[in-house]
Amino acid sequence: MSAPIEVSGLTKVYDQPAVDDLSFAIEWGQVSGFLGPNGAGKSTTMRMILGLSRPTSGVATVDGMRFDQLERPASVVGALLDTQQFHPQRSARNHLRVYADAARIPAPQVEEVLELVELTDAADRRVGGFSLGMKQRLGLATALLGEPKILVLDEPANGLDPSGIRWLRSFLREFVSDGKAAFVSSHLLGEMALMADDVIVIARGSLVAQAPMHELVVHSDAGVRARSEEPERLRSVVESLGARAELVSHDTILVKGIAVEEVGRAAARDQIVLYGLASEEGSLEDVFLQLTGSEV
Amino acid sequence: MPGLFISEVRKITTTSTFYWLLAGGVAFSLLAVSSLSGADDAAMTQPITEQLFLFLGTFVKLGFLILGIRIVTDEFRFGTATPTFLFTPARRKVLLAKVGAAAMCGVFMAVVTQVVLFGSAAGFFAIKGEVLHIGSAGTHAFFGGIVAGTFWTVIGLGVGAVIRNQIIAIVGVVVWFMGFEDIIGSRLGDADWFLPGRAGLSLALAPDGRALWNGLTIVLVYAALTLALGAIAVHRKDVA
Repeated sequence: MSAPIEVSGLTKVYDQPAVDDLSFAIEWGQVSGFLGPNGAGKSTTMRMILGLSRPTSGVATVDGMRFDQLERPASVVGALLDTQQFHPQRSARNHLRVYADAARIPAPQVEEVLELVELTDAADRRVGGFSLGMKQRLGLATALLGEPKILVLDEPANGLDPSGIRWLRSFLREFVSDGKAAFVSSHLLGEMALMADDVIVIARGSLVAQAPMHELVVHSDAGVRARSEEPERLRSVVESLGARAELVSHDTILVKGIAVEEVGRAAARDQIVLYGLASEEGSLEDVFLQLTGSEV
Repeated sequence: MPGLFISEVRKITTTSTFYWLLAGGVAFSLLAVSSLSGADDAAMTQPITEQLFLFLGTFVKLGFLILGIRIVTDEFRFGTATPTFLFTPARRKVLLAKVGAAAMCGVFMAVVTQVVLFGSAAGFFAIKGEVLHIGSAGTHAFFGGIVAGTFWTVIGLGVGAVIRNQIIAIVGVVVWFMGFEDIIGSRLGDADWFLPGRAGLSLALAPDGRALWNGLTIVLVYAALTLALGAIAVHRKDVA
């Protein structure tokens, strides 16, 4: 079975490389996050996957085929790339009908997606008067029009209120639960941690990491927090083992560079009383900064 | 393909641009007829005057061109090109469907404009107690105007596909047809037959069959050329 999305050696050069020899694949049944600082090449990558932008080199496939080779693309992949993809004078219903006509999607499906994104009451209003959140929901309705098995969403949480974000999260969870796939970019790192199963991190157009979300967070170099009645002595001991340590309160040190087990064994060997010992999970922000070297 | 054609027609008919341009065409037709008010009885009983069509040829032509330009450039201006090409990745098919939809809407706009022109002229003459004699020249002008309007819409579409920037495309055709072509034409004298505006006008006002076919051929060449360049541009350029 082909991967829902696979890119291989994908490169796009404008004046300088926007995407540079990027390779990754996402899996069915998962929400795959696409993370990177602004200007990292996320949107350009998505546009190349969807045939809107021509790669300088490399290949991107959707369900095993180049996007422009798909016979019925709307039933394979639905995409939301931008909130500015509506004619302001056209009503929401007519916007959806235009694309339903193009893809020969039955008219009742228009009403179904309007209801799904809770825009039925606003369906005959001009899109120009919509809020950002409503446009985002209409964009999602457009993406879902062909009942696709893959969703590609660029910053879908932008403009959504907290309840809208929660709705989106549960919607994506349900979408992938029956084996479909979602590929979602975001700069909202906390949101990504709650939404994605797997994450692909890029910076300056290149792949930095791809891992399950929980692994990425656990493996961050956040350190070991040790509470002791002799914090200074404990610091000397762990530093002698090659770790870095700093006093963070009168009885606590934060140790980096060695595992929690090694800190515990060192304390026992030197008979240092510990009140508490715990490895800290790094925040996604920490991981992101470490991987990309960029500000969030 | 029929679905794609219906989609493109729906795009045109679900925004106000088409209706404003249609209203503009009707308004210019009425304005042209009202310009006959100063004509003496002898002039009024002549077939629809050449002047009237020159007037319309200059202004209403721009309406058809702008309609064609906006059919394509609105897609890039408002970002709807993205979902358009996501639902139909075959860009040339999209362009072909746009040509069909533009031609249909161009025919509709031209028929309405011509019917209003001839109808109001007949009404105006009737008020004066005269009968409008359309004659063979008038019949030629009626149908030639419809053909010309259709071609201008398609040529506008080709221009819009080549020049995606809506303002530049519209200003470009206005500058060309409202001045630049006249300047070139005046320098060329009788050798101005190949200029698009002159060729388009001959569809409605050609004195004989040969001039008509020459005009039609030239307009066809312009339409084919702009569409071919447009197809290349649409196929090659990224959709931002």
